[in-house]
Amino acid sequence: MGIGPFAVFALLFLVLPTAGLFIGAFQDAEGNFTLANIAGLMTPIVANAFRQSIIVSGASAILGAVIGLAIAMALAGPGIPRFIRDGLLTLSGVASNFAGVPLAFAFLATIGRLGLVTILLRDLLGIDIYAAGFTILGTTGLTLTYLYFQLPLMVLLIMPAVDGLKKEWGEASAMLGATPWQHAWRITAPILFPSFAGAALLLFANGFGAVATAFALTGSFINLVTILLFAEIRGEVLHDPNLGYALAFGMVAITAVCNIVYLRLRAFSARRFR
Amino acid sequence: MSFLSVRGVKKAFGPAVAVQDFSLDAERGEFVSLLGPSGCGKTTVLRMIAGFEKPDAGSVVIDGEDVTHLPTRARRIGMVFQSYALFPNLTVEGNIAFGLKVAGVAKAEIAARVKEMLELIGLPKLGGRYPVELSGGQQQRVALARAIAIRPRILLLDEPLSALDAKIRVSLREELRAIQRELGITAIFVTHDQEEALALSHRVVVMSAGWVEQIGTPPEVYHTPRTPFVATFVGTANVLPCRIEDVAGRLSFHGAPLALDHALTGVTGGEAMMALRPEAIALAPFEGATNRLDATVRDVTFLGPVARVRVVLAGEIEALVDLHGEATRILPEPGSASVLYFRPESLQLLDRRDRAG
Ligand SMILES: Nc1ncnc2c1ncn2[C@@H]1O[C@H](COP(=O)(O)OP(=O)(O)OP(=O)(O)O)[C@@H](O)[C@H]1O
Ligand SMILES: [Mg+2]
Repeated sequence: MGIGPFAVFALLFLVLPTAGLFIGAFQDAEGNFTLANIAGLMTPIVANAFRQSIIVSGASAILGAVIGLAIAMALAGPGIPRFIRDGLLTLSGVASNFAGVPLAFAFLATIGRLGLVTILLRDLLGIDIYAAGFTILGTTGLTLTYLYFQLPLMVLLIMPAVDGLKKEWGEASAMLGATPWQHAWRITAPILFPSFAGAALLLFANGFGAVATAFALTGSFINLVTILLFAEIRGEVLHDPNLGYALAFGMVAITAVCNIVYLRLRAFSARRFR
Repeated sequence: MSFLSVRGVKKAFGPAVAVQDFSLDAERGEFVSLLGPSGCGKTTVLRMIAGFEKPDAGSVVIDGEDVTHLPTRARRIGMVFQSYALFPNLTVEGNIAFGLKVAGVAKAEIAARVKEMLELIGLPKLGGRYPVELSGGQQQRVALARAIAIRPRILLLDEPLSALDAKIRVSLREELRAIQRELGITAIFVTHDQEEALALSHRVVVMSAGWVEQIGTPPEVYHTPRTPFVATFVGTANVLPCRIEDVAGRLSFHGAPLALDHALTGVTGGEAMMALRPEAIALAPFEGATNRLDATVRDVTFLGPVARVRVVLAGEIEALVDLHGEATRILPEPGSASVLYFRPESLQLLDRRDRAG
């Protein structure tokens, strides 16, 4: 009975809206059944939006996962004082939730066209990143901004797996004549891989859904699914809320697949590497 | 020269000295136990032999080769960890084959060796399992097979049995000893369980607080403990104060004369400590029991094959007497006066070593 309140919560805010989405995705404006919305997902503007989203989420997920793993391994290493480790983990907890308009504003104020770092680089070092083609409103800029919450999220997600690596495994390897590289390749990498891949997928899904940041940064300057979705539902472009439902349905599907694979990988790790 | 020679090894972690001064010579095929209470430095000694820790002083020589500054992977030693430390991503076969694989041994030879090892540890059918699918005892056998598959020069075992339950512990230790004997491999075995050490070893190194207290065969450390620590840590002993009267081996305890079975060398007399096992004492005269002490019985605990009697000597010093067999039929009354009878060879004079120097 302890899960009663949770079940009600999930029903109201997860199950019902998802079901609504699902139904809406297969209806026209009059409520008749149609596959037109799903077909609409194939139109160039929508397909392009999905591609853009996948690029930005994918790039930020891969970069975040690799760098986050490196940070987590450094934090777990010997000689890192407890307070530095704890401090960085707390910071990661905060930063991984720092998204949306405040984050966008912070990035604009830092590396936007008139951002602090942009100006400092230009005036002090003579490096004009905007002249070199960079723009915070482009794919690279958005990826960089996403990294701000992707990276700390990765640290939080992968830390338990990294902490689970036993010192004795390395010693056993050395005893058996393996070099540190052989140990890393044959033991550490296979043990971490499921957790790493799962966490990277979760970052991807996280990036995919991060609408507010993208919207605040670019308006509709860059064509992401989440932004298109906003436009569809608010009726700015085509005024076809049902196509909006289909878009959301596509997003939910991608996110769900990522989450399911993540959970399976995590369960595998927990079972074998306990 | 002996096969393994550890000379004057020392290790401190910051201000805390874990190993003060450790020396040991072991022969090829010998089984030596390091025995001592928690924190006395046993693991640290083993880790220095393995190369996981660098000694602050001293040297480690294996088969004539000074390995003191050699990394672990070049030492050709096999180690079995208390926590097994099997690689969880590899099957039993993968674990056993690991050392051969990284050494670039041919596939066919690896397969043959893995099979041989699986037979040796009695798990020929479990090669395809993952470590999580094994019991603790099975995991520890695989850890042993993994360690010996590379034909190491020395086998190091750090409390390999302590995570197992009591019954498996005894059967596995016999098996371990049989395998060690069969392979003729030199083994250093760490334990804090004296029964384990006595049952398995050719020789036992008794350690306390980073120091070696005594090195000897199991009967030696049991019957002729050199220090109060060894006397009380290995088995139970009454450690009593005494006076050395002369070099002929005459002692006295609170004025009562006692005799050792041997003459003393280099002792000038004075205060000393002596050890006396409870089971060496009887409350009735017997053949050769020329030493006697008056005592008062305090209490008696009957345990079946043994009756444990607490007595008071010289009005203030408590001692234990274990009665066996027929002697437990008629038990002494608490409060009654009694006489302890024991042989001269049961009395062991203890060193008072000054360690500060
Ligand atoms: N890496 C280390 N850093 C600091 N102190 C250590 C380290 N390793 C061991 N010590 C200390 O050195 C002393 C000896 O430790 P060691 O592990 O050798 O004891 P042990 O005899 O194996 O004990 P146990 O039976 O509990 O395993 C202990 O006081 C321990 O706290
Ligand atoms: Mg230990």
